Amino acid sequence: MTDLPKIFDRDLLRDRRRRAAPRMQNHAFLLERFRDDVVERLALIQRTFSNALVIGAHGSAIGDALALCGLTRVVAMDTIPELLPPNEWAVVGDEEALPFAAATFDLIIAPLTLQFVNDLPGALLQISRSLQPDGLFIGGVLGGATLHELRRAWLEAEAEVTDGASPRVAPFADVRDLGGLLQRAGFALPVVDSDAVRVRYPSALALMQDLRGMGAGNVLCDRRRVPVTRRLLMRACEIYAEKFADADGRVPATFEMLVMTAWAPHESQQKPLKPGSATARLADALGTTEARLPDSTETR
Amino acid sequence: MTTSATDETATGPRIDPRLLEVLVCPVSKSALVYDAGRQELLSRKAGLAFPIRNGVPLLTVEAARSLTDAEIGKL
Repeated sequence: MTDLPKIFDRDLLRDRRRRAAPRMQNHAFLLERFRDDVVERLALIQRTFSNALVIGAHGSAIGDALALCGLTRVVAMDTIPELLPPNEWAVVGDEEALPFAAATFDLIIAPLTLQFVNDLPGALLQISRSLQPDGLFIGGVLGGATLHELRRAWLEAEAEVTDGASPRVAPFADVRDLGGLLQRAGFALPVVDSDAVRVRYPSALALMQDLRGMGAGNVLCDRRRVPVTRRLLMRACEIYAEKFADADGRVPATFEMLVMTAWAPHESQQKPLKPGSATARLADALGTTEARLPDSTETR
Repeated sequence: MTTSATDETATGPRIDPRLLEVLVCPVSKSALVYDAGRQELLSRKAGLAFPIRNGVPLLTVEAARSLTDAEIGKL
């Protein structure tokens, strides 16, 4: 719609997910981890939600868990119909252009889908708009440390075997960036938690197969369009093993899962007071006398 | 034969009216008009018709077709 830089090829992402859909539950460890995290968070919140939306349904994985939490009305949205649960509350839609009216939901869950959005600020803004006042958003995205081993192995292999490097692992958001983006999108009380998941695979090839199984193969617009040669692939796997393998020969892979929680603003929420609005002195509360710091800036 | 055809449309998955209430056009965020006969959701502002397949609305620009001027005029 606008001329924002396109980082991800969303058509290709849809194709990849469509191909992966029938067996995606075999490659769902990250999704399951996010789901358990959401269930835990909801259990700690003293409130019942009645009107939820899942952005990126991934089949019934998240919806079933929400039903167990007592949520009766859950709208499921995904970019492809193959990954929608078989119920009457299913919609095919795009994270970049949400098809929901303002102030509709009191809970929105976005499981590991927003890292492949070209316009993350725009997507978050639309999510906050779809929330009722005091509605809750819980979103999982992959953070900057994700797959740093794989990124490095590809980079070095490609520099060695071909005449340069091309992007093969997506750029991921950083904790601090997300906090700022949530605030810019109009959310109150934003919190971003980082959960580093270290997974071990028999080989780098097995890792790549798992990624493909998640429908998370390379969808970067600037990806090299020629197929990977066998030699390049093997070299990347070798470098991965040389640099990162554990003593038993298995290779680790890092996934940094960032979980955002934020609320649509409401007057009942705690807010900081305006600077200078204090009615009591800190020194009095502490029973001490106030003294100026020696290095205080007089020039202000 | 004709009855079986009508039966099929009558018993096929229908879209829940409560779901319709919360849906808007993804492009213009304006209200959608439900065409039960053609199983489409029409956005006058964006000039697009979004299909409903097996009771599931496909609210993406890729899935939509453009409305003709005559169709927009009727909305």
